Amino acid sequence: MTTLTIQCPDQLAEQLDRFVKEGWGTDIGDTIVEALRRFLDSHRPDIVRKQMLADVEWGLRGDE
Amino acid sequence: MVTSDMPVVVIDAGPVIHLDELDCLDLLGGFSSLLTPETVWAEVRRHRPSLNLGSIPGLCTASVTQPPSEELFAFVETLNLDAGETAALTLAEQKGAGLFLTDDSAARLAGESRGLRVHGTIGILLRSIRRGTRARSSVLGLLVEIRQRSSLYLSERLLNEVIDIVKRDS
Repeated sequence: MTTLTIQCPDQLAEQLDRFVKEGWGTDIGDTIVEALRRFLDSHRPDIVRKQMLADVEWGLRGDE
Repeated sequence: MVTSDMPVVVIDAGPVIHLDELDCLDLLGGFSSLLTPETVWAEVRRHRPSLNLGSIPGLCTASVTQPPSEELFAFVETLNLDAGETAALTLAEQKGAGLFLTDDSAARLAGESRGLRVHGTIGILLRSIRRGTRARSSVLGLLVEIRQRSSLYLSERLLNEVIDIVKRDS
């Protein structure tokens, strides 16, 4: 396991704290890892590239 | 006024925020009917407090009065979409939108999976070349500066690929 040290906006940290205290996450570390996993799953570079190239095609040659 | 033969376009917060950061909100002109949920507009105002609805051509806010469909809700849960993205997708489904504008990759995946046509800020910028409202050189200038001037999430490598395509297309 790798240890990451990050800075987090206060409001986001408070939201995270509430989320865990309400029982939605086991602890803050596990919740951050799960959030990161979900973000990386849904922002995979190959998917984002495909979406961007579709934007280029629509932008230059698409219709409304 | 929205009539049945006008394809509705629903817009999420990202493109509004990013186009405002680029001073390009005028590029949202030309859509027959442009809607955003009140939840999304509140999110936009949190990021861009000085922005007025009237400064965005044709944009109207809409209430989302029904929950998302079961099918959409499954994507919302799986992709962990936020309240604004959920409201925008719900509105797009309920209005039978012809186009959904978002810069969030996950919201885009959800929209496409539900049969929506989805594009984002890059598409809107390039649309201005097609529509003749911006010169290609001007749009290329915006693309070169976009990572410095806006909060759009885009890798340098992918941006360079987009710029190369736009240059080659001329």
